[in-house]
Amino acid sequence: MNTRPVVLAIDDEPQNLFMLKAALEDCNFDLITAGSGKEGIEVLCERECAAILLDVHMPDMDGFETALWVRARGIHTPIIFITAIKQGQSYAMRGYEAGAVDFLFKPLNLNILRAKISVLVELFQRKREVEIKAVRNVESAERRYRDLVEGIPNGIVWTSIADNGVFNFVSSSAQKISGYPARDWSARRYFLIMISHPDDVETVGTAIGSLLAGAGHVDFEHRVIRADGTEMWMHTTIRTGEHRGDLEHRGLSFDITSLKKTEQSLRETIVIRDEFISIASHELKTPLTPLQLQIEGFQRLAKRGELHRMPPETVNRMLGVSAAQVDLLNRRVNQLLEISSIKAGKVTIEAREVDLAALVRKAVDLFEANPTIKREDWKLNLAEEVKGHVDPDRIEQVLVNLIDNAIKYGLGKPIEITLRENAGHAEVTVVDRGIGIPAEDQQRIFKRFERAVSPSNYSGMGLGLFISRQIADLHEGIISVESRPNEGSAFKLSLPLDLENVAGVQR
Amino acid sequence: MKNQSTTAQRTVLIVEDNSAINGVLKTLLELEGYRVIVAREGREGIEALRREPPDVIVLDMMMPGMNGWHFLDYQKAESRFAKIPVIVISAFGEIARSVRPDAYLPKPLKLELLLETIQKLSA
Repeated sequence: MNTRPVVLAIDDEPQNLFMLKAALEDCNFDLITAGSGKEGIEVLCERECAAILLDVHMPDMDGFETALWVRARGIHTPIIFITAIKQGQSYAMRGYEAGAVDFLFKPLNLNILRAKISVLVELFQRKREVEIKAVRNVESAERRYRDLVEGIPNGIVWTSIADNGVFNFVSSSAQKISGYPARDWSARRYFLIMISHPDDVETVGTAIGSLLAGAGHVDFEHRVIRADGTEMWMHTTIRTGEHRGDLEHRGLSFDITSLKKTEQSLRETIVIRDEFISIASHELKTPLTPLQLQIEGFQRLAKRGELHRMPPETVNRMLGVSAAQVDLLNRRVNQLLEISSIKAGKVTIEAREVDLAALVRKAVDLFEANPTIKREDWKLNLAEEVKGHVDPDRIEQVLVNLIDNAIKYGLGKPIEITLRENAGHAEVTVVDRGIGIPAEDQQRIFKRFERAVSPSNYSGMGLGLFISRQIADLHEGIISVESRPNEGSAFKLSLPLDLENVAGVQR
Repeated sequence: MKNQSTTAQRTVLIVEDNSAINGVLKTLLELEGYRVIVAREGREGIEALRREPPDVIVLDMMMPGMNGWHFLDYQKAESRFAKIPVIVISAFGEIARSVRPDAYLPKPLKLELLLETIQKLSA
């Protein structure tokens, strides 16, 4: 601010005022004059002055009276009385009581006059600078605070009047986060309750209730329905404070939707993992049951010397069952090991030229003894001379998985396996006429631990198709499914024939 | 043993989808002198019950078609079958105990324990 400070001179004698004006002309302040106490007070009410030069002897309202009136209006401008005669001490005391800071006596020594006024003007300017600085500090603190508040990207800062729940401040992020503009927040009482999810209204209401009952601060999680109807999770903290004599609630509502989603998916992962461990242990224990029973059965007979009571064909059959169970157990343990290798990216393939028709027949032969499907219900339609460049053990594993599923979910109906060459690819299709897979489950079943059916009806670890797809991927191939519930499923394994030229295979 | 001729021959109904398990059980129980009927899931089990109520039922829980829970719902609701003792065999202890069977034997099964249990419950 570069306005010059003002000094007011009050005197009923125009000559005196003229003399003062002349004396103070070249100073660093402006002198304004008033011809009476009343006029002077009017000036003082309009503008702040650095000092007052006040003549004591004036008609109507003298200097002392004027000074008392000035002070009575709450104006604390320093006053220098000017008086003609040196009076006694009691006279000076009256002046000081009326608010004088100094006396000057006529005839005036102009140097002293200038010096005294300069001191007061200097003081006034210092004081003004300090005030300006203070105002600037408040302004800058406020701006800083606002920048902080508005800079919170995923949080809404707000305050509301405790008595009526009306919002009197909402940070501008409110619109971006909630979709409701600030004016909506302040238009209705308890807006945060109004936009909360119906199931969470009680949570928010209870929290605000306990604030009103005297709790210093509350914090809670709740869902908010955005303006566009979508749902979001918020974490809200509210403190009680005072503003201009009223109690107010100061809140910070954070958007924690993504945190909640992560938490949810972690929880799901844990549930899936626990379920998997439980299913896997069941699947490992199941083949152990016939083994255990047979061993105990033989031991029981041997102990009594009655092994001969077991007919040779029964012994043969039982040993066949044992071998199959050991084989199954082995396969399941391998599946489990493979899952961790796949996860660690350690599975490799060793590709070589393979007669695919022979490979399919070999896989089918493994199911020859399966009681669920009759020999004549296998329908093989295999093109000869289809030479794939594949890892035979891995691809056999895929075929066994697909055939195993076809039998498991095939309701004992015929199973058709086709091998053909199509557009540089070998295609093996395994078709059953069983329970089929609903469309919504057709992608899920390729994920780890997933299956389309309840484990209380179908055994298995939910790993077969996941592993199969990983193996197909390593061959740059594709496994796809077409299926309708109650009609059956067709799984197609498609492998590029010139895998040799596919980058990155010989790993 | 074979000379259980003083008492009538006892019948065991096995409801179990795993053909390796039900096959071995049939062979071994027959060697012990029981008559054994095998059903591969709940519905077959119910048909077998209706044809000829057994003295004891050995029941697996997780089966395709009708599972063990539904089989038990029916068996316990039908008064003429409700009293037939049931031995649940399962690798899931918690599941098996939750249906409150007369006996629960965990998989892998112990033959001696199974024979004892069958004998006790069918006596």
